[in-house]
Amino acid sequence: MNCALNPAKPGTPARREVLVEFPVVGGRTTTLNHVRVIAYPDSLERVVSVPASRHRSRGAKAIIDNARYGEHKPEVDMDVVLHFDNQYFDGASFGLALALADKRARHGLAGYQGRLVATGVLGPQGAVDPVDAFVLKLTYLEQVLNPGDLFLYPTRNTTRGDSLAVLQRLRQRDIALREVEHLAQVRDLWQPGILQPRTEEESVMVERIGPITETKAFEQLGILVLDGSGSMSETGISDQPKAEEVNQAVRGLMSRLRNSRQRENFLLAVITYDHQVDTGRLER
Amino acid sequence: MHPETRKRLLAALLAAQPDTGEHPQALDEARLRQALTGTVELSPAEQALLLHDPSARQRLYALRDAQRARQYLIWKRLGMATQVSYLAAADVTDHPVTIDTHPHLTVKVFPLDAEGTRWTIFLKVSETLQETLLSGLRLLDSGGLLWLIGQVDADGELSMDWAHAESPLQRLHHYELRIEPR
Repeated sequence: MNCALNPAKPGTPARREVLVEFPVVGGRTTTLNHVRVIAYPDSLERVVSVPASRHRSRGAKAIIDNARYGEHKPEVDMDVVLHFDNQYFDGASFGLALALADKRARHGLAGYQGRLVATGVLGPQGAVDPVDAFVLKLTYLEQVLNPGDLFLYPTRNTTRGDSLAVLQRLRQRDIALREVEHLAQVRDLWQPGILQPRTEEESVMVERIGPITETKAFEQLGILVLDGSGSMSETGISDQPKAEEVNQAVRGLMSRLRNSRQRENFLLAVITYDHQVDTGRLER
Repeated sequence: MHPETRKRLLAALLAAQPDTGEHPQALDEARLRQALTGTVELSPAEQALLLHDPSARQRLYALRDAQRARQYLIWKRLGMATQVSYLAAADVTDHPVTIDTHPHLTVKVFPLDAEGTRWTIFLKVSETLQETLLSGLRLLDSGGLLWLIGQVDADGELSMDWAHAESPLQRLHHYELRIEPR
């Protein structure tokens, strides 16, 4: 039975890293580039970090939004950091490779475990659209793929006879091939989501049990009593208003607790006071 | 050599170039302002002109300084602190660390390996802060080390790989972060 409801529970890796290659046709050369996605199972703020590439960041986020369409929490919110081996390339045919790397890194690998190469434009809601220069890419892949590698490509690119001939040669060399029209067709390449149980029986069980919370070893309550009087608008030791200094200190404490492994064990209350009580705030 | 590295090296060398007074073309000030705000990129010809013309570079630096001063003034008027306080949590080593002590920005430090040798720094600014931005941002610590530089994207986000030997978490034990206009 699949009861793995809490992805941050002990035993979950701190990060999962997946690499997927994709062919890039240049002006004079064709090469293999790759995207490496690192997912953080216990960091759920839906961060998609694409270091040092504002331009690439926009496209990658759009692809990941499409790839995650229909997913549930918490996996859909999992933070990822992605790097391209070479970020100086044009076009959108890396979409399928990025989507697969994102899915496999966040959910965990399933099925095929070897080298994975993909080309395809990722459209709305996970549709896989055809790429340009498919035959050129296939011809190049014929030289660099090895027996046992898995190559995924858009179904709509297989209408031309010349591409079918190259695909046939690849198949004869024991290179695994998969046509894709929609990401859902290759969902066997990643673990099923926690809200996608394998059987109907499990589905019913998960609904009955609800989320599982682990027993806490201790529980501490902190009550912060903050001065909310007018004097807090005066300048403090850092040339900012005292209220701002207190605000930063409180946020610092909260941030520290939030990053603690035992963050679930702390409860915080915040009370502010002034020299008089505003009765308008009291519940009647 | 990478073209970008070559360009930066050339820029550093030419920064010391004496002004010969020969400037057949001039760069429009409005164009320089647009480049500073990041709304346009200078064309290769304009970049070449900038590299060859010391007075054009001086105008660019003067405009940049004025823009930075304006940016600080805007933040001061809105009461936006530039310091980002944080006391590093000792028990966090191989998990992402979030620094959200500042009301208008969040910094996340992502470890890229289990050994703690490679990191990515991620910054997200609030809509309020994003609306005030005249150009890019820099994130530095009080020891003067640069953590991040660039322009936030449409979501107010900016990322960069950590390029220093000391881990960012170690730096946080000793230094405070601050933002600056680029």
